[in-house]
Amino acid sequence: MEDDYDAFFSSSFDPVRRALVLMFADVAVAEDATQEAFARAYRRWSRVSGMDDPTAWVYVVAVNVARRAVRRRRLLAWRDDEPRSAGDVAGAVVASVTVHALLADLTERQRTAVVLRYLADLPYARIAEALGCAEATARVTVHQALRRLRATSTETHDGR
Amino acid sequence: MDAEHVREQLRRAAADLPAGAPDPRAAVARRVRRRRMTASAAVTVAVLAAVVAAGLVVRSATEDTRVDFVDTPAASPTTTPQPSCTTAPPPHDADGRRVAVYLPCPAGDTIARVDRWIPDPSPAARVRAVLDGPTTLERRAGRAPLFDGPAAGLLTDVVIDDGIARVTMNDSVDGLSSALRDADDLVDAVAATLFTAHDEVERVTLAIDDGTGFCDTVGRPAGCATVDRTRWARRPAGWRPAPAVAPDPLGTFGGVAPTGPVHVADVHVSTSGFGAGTVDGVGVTSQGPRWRIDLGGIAAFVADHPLDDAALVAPQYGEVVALAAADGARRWTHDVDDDQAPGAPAVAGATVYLPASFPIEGDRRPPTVTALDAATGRARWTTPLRDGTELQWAPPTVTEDLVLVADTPDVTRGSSQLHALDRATGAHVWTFTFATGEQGFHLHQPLVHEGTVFAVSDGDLHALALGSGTLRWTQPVSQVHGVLPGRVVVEVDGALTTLDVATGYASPAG
Repeated sequence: MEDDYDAFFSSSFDPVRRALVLMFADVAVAEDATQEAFARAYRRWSRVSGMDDPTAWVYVVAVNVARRAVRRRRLLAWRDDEPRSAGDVAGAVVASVTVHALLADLTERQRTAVVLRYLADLPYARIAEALGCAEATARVTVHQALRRLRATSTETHDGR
Repeated sequence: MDAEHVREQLRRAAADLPAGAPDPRAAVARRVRRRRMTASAAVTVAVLAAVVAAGLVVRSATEDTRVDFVDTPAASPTTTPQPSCTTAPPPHDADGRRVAVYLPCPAGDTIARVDRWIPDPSPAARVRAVLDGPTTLERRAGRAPLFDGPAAGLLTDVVIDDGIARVTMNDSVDGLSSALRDADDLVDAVAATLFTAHDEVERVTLAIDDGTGFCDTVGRPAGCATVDRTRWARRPAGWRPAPAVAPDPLGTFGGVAPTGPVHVADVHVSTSGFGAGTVDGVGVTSQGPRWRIDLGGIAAFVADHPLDDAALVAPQYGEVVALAAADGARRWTHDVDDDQAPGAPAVAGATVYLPASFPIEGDRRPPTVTALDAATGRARWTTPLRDGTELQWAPPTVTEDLVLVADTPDVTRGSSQLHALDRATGAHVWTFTFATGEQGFHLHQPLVHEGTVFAVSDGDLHALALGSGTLRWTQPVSQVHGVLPGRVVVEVDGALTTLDVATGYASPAG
């Protein structure tokens, strides 16, 4: 079992982490969510390893963990409270990255959908699970994201 | 830009990203270890319990244990203020440190527990521990526990020097992790115990030196935590930590479900956990129990609202019994199926609402909710719920018209559902399915406030319309602490905030 998981970890961890960074534009969130997803996979490896595509399972779990982390942070940012003290800010240092220009115009949801579809090669059923929506909605989201990307790319070319 | 082009661009973008944190394998291994400890603690509990009831399945408590302060019942049990649930309390007292928190009202018109003391709500004083650098601690082995309080059984030695308490913990890592879910809870419980017992203590430094790196295992970089008294409101005169939420040494219900004491006339009835398994009726003035009933090592729930002059006790296995507070005599009993495990009952008006599940693995018979006449124990109605699920550990929430109870599906699949039953007939009124990605472990009692049901499932707070079960909003909230007029008091990542009942927004609407 250990060997099996080890091979899975070696081949999948970094691709999942990188995909999460592209989706959430946040290195810390991506790292944390990916680690958590792989820890959960380990704990139930007997079941996960028997799945058609364990990596897809890990993607879904990691996206769910990351989405929740991002929502929590937004919720705290809304607090009708005193500004955070310096210590809090230091404790919550978030290593953000600039989203790749290609994805900059998409919403976080669209980015998640398009990365899961075209980088992770997930089927729509899995994308729907990760987004917490119906499969049809996942298709529409990917479609909208593609259309948006086409428009952006055209504008860029026109602008030159 | 076609799909192929997008694919290529994404690959390039992913490849261009900087490398991740060093040694992710070790980081993942740490996370795995942390959970494993909880699992091994559950095994310990299971072994003990199996001695008394072959074939039973022990569920590990997955809820946070909290340290609360409540008005001491020993001082004035009959005059403990019991304001109505609809009374609007001020959120803070004059110095802004006290928040009156209303817990669910199982009886419809009274509150189980009144005020909860929490730390100063300013941003500088979060609920959770603020971690310091690594600390060391000298062990003095073989000393008996020195202090009373929620964590008393866990402390083996305490040295107080210059306002700083250095604490040695019990060796049993399994016991620790079971009683207190993680280091935050541990630190909170220990700090509260010491602050309560010793007025001179201003800071508690905690380190556990058992040779296995416990602090590291539970997610600490090294060493452990320091807690200053300023994180806690000072204990008001005559108050003490609430015994109802003191962690059982084996974490029986993790503070999720009531195990007493319930106050009936001048007697407090409470139960102990696995291993001990007794019901005690303690008189106000006497030191020891007035009466004691041996449950043969089986843990039990005590309804947190009394029946007239009796207390309702639901052992995890076996018959539910109404015990006269005065002498522990049986008023009535209600038997469940041999394989069925009663949950924590709710008492409302003249009726007892009793959830019961079939927890043995592989037994897919549906759990039931039964309404019993509080005076006689006679069943009024029984409603079966979903096959292959178990009901929440906390008691059902009873409103004017409805009984609300959540279920937990087999851990490998499905989502939890919240069921609303007609209080008079047991008929299904509505069902809400939580959209949890993995598994919905729903242990909290749903809370009802201003026509809205608040229920936490898998880390998300759901606000539902009481009449229809329609979802109004969700927020990623780990715990609900109570309600205020128009607001619900929640904990997000260790920070307290309030959300608008109607919109779920943290800042006031508009």
